[in-house]
Amino acid sequence: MNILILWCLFYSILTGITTSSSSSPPSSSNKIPLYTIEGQVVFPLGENVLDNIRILVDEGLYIGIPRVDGTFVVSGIPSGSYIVSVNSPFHIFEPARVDINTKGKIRARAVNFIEPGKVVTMKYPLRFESHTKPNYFQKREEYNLIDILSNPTFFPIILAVISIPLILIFLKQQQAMQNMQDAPEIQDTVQRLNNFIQPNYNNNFPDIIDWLITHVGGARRIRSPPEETTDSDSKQKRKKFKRAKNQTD
Amino acid sequence: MRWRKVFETNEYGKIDRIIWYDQESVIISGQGRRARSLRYADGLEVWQLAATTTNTNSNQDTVAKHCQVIKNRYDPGTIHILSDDLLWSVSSYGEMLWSIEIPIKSTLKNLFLLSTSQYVIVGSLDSNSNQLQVTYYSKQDGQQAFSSSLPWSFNAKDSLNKCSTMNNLILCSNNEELSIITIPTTTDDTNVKTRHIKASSKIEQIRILYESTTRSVILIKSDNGETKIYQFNKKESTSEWDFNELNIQMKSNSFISIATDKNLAGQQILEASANDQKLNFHVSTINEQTLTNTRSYSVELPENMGEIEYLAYSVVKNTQLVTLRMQDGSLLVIKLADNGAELILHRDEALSSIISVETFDLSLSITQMRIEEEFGGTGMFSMFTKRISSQVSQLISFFLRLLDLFTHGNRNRDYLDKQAALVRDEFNLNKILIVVTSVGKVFGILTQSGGILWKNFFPNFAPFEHFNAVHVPLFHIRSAAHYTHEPLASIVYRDRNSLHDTHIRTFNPYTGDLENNLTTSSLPYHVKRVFLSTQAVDEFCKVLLFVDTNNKIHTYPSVPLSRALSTTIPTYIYLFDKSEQAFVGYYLSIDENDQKTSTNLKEVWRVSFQNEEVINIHTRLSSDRVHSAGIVLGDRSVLYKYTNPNLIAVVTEGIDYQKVPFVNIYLLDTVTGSVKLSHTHKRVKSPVHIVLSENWIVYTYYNQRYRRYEAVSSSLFEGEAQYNYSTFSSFDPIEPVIQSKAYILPYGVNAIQVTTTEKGITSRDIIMATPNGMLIEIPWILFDPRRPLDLTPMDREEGLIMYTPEIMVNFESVINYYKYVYNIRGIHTVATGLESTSIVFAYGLDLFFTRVFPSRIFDQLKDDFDFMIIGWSTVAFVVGSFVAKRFASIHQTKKAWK
Repeated sequence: MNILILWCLFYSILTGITTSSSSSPPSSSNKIPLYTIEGQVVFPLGENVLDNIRILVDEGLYIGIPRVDGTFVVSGIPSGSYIVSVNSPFHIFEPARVDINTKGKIRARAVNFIEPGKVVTMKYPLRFESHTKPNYFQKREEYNLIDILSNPTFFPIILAVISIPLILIFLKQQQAMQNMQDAPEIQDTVQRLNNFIQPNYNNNFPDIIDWLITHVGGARRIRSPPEETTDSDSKQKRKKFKRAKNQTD
Repeated sequence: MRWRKVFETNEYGKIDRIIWYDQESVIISGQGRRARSLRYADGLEVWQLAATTTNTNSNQDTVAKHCQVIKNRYDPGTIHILSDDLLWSVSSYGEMLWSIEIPIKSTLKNLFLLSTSQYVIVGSLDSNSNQLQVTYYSKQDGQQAFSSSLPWSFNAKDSLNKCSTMNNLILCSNNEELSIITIPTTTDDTNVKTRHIKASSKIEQIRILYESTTRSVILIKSDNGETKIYQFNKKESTSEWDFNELNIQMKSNSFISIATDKNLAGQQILEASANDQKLNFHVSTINEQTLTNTRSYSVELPENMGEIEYLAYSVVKNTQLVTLRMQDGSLLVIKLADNGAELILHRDEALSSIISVETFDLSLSITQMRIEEEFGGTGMFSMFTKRISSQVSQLISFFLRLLDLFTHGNRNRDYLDKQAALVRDEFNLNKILIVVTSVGKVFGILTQSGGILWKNFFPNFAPFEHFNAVHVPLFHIRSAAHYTHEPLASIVYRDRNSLHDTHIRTFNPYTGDLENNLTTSSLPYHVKRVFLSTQAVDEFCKVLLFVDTNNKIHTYPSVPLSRALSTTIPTYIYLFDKSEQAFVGYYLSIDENDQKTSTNLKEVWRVSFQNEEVINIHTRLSSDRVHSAGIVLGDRSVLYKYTNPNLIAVVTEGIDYQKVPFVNIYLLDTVTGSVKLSHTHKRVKSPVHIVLSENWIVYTYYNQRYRRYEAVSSSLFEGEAQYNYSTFSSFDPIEPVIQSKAYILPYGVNAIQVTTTEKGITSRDIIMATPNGMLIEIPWILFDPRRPLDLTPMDREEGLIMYTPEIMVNFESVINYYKYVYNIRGIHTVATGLESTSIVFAYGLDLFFTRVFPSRIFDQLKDDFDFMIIGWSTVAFVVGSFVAKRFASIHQTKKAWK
């Protein structure tokens, strides 16, 4: 309440000043009186935001610098309509339109570019409060399991993962049945199903591992003399020999 | 830097005088119309006062608005300001003491402002009676006390140029004579005394070096280079002054500054002179009539900075500091100590006045050059040998590098890094910016670090005028593509002293070294326009073509025109005639066998503007590429673009018969002179910022009627069918179909530009610099004139967005984040080797450089791309498949055994 009274007092003093400045009539007709726009930037305590704040009247036609308490004065302005914006890289403030009539009466209203005639009055002296901070950065996309799973290309894989155990169970049952009955039609269907689940592409597309074994491993075993092969190769070979031996044993 | 406050760019922000106090300083700006006080500690304002009235009519008199600011010597807390017809006093506490108007007429001008302990004295010149009226106003309340007049022999303009005021003296130079006019300070003493000092030749300049209530020092400079210093001492209990000459030997180009300190006995006088790359100082103590204790210092400057423009000498806490502003815009602070002078601060303030920018690709590395060479041969055998030899040399250099790494380790790493900085990177992202500043200093700046690679200062530099701006032509004479030859750049400028003389300077953009064969300071003709040849002549160098005032075309260096310009494609040139407000098109006929190096131009068309003044023109960027000839519409038909490379945008301004100001925009074909587009905007204020690219134009202006900034976007189309698939000719009978839309901008505009990419495939973004310090990247799709009012499925298929009058700016599209840049005058964009990436360089008071990706990074991996995961998972898959194979085979054999 006290603050309100104080503001009113301040306001009355202010209007007093502005009227007094306008009431001193210019001596000649080509004189136009100049007025002052006043306001305050309200900021949370402890935050040092004033350093970077500029008050732009009509995009830099006049520039104000705030005082320690956040109040500012932009003086020497002839009557007209101006957009007052408080500008800082760290905070967002809503701009205000200030109309000064030829008698020096000042009113403030909301900025509306689409309907410039619309009047939504605001308090004067101006009061700028920042509620939001500008977000200059887009959030970096991170790997998210749900994102990957929700990807449509991932759907068949999920389907496969779910269906394979089911099919395996089904196959087991089939095998059991096969053992019991040894029915040829069922064997046939199982074979077909097997082909369907694990199609044998080997006829058309040679398995890369097969290909490697036959061309790299297999061929060298026969053709190339042992001193030309590298260490890793010979190791692998030795392993293979061992395994072969184990198997034959 | 502790803090910085940027004032208005207009007249109101221009600082007239700064008065320094202990805790804060009072800054008078706007020609004595505003006083504000800023604290030293944090730069915040303490108080602000302004004049309460102003004149409506802009002063069209020969004597421009004139303002004098003085601090009262007897009462240092009071400042008196005389601004044309307004006299006001403020106290250093921010109190407006009084303000009065002194009526002026075209014959009556307020010129001088003096102050005493009781009065503020205004000297106004009445040119009718040739008398100087001296009026006394009370210092307390501004009441006029009394006035007197004395005969005056100068006119108003001369009085301002030739006279200075000091305490209660007016000093005026009259050819070889200096008149010292003593204005009485009290009411009882009314006789004005005039005394004279004779100089040996015409006095050029009077400067007041030091001023106090009892003592003053002035400097008189004659046009024969002689400089004299006089010391004034006040006579006891009168308003009169004694003066005597100080015995000091001075060089003609030296500057003088005087400092006082409480600890010092008397004043110290500093004489400074610049000599090539050296600054010489002589410090002495003024002792009655002579100078004693003279000490000399000299400091070596890192580069040539021209003459001294401003000098201030001060003694702060027993430290002698000299602050200088040099001709090249450098700010220097030099500390004088017993062990000599030391340069403690050097800032290139010239960088805030950039007027031309060009970018150069960096040179190829040795390996890249070898690869170029590898594919250079002709014939099968030579190509084969080249290939083998280059690969062998690559192998050798690889082993040498390994050897070097093992033997030297990281010792010469710094050197290698520095070398690597000058070599083109894989994607040609890093470049060299060549910037020309209005003071005549040229800088080479590396883009990856912002570091200045080299600087060159041209002392007699003056830029060309280009409509309402200044302009310095800067050309790529030889590009970096020819790796066997060093690249070359040329600038063309006028001589500062004789504006008809044209200088050409050609230099290597990597080092700044001048190429003397292509550097001249005397062209035998007056240059009207300069442009670059279309064809390289000798050693891949292009030549400069000049149009002189007689409409004759010349080449520099002199080569036949038939070699400089294509003989198959006809050449058209347009010039602007300022006196007639007309664009004139000329045809240049070149015979293939003709060896003439200069020829006359033939006029073919003329477009003149009546009742409107051309204020600016805008051409498209030379690097502008159009990738697709048309737009695929929603119904799979194609709308062909009208991509005329010969278009320029012309902005005119005027006032119509109803006294309404208007701005017109034209698109003018410079080959045929036909106007392809014309828009009129009433009640609109310039500046108009334009972007012209592909088949569209976007421009911004201020709408005075609705008090908002607006942008208009127009596209030109040929229609459903294309006239000629292969080439474009301005003579083809195509009437372009124009589509336009206007948009409301949320902020004002300081500069706009469009992004450039190598092939023009990437979509375009508009980069906009706003007065509040942001650089905003707006996709052109938002400016698309084809944005429909109601969206049909076909439009959606095409990817159009519904029309909304406002262009919403998201803070995510601000490309300079927290680093706000102020008073940007221009933006330069360049393509890189990556199609997705465009380089953006914004210049003005601040400089800002970044890369933008208008269509996101479609040809790059993200910088957080996890190479390890991909690598390891690939290895894991390979190993896993081997293991699986093994298990499978074991399983198979087991099965077989069953």
